[in-house]
Amino acid sequence: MAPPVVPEVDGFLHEPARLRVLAFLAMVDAADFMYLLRQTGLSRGNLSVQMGRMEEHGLVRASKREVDGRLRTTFALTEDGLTALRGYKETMHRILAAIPD
Amino acid sequence: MMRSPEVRLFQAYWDDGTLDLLAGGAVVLMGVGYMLELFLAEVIVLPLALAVWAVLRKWLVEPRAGYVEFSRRRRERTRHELLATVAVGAGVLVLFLALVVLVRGGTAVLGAYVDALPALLLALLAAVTGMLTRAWRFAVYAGVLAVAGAGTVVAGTGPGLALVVGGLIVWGVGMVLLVRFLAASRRFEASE
Repeated sequence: MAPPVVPEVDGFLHEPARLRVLAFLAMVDAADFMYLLRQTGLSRGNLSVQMGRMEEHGLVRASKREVDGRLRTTFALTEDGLTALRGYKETMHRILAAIPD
Repeated sequence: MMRSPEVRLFQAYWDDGTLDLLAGGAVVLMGVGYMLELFLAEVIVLPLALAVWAVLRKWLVEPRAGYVEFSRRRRERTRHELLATVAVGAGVLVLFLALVVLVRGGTAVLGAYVDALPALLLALLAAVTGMLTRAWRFAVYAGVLAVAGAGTVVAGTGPGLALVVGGLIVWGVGMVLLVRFLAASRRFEASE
């Protein structure tokens, strides 16, 4: 069977809050919760829930390490997360290309 | 031209004003050092300001703005640019001295321009900082310091006053940015 002309979007990634966080994490190596909170404009509760869900899906990885004597939790995109995000970008390109001007 | 989101993210990292505040304060102190002939100040003030900035960033900015590690590509690019600009800066200095002393001949010509040299070198440093941080207001600071340096040659006031005036402008902008950053942080915390 031929692949669909208009591809299906990954519903998990397509959620605006998650997509926003993943896009930020794709630009940097790692960031802590406060940085993501300030940059994304999400509420603390929403960001916390989204980070947990994305970690469960293997898209992001939380690491605890000591920096300057303080324990810091940082988040980074995993390889699977980056692959998923690239796939999403490709899908969206194809969908948008299908829309006539 | 629209800058990439990653560049804008990197630029925003420097928008809290602490770097401007410390750099401006250091330039003012260097100017005062020239005025009072405390030449040791010229040597120690900038490294000291950099150390204080790192502490200020860690204790004042990071708890409010959060912590980020930029991509390895960005960090390597910054390191390469820093090395290249230090080499260019040293080359410009050597060229300047060679032109003045050797080609145009004599300490009289050097004497006319030497008062501008501290401000011009700091202007070069500000331009380099602007390039490294992508915070283009540092290019404006470079212009301010260059004009102040040229002003010392015209007015014959010595290098100290140019540095104090130029440094105060940088410090003032830094203070405005820091107050804005802290106010925005308070609004953000209140909205949480």
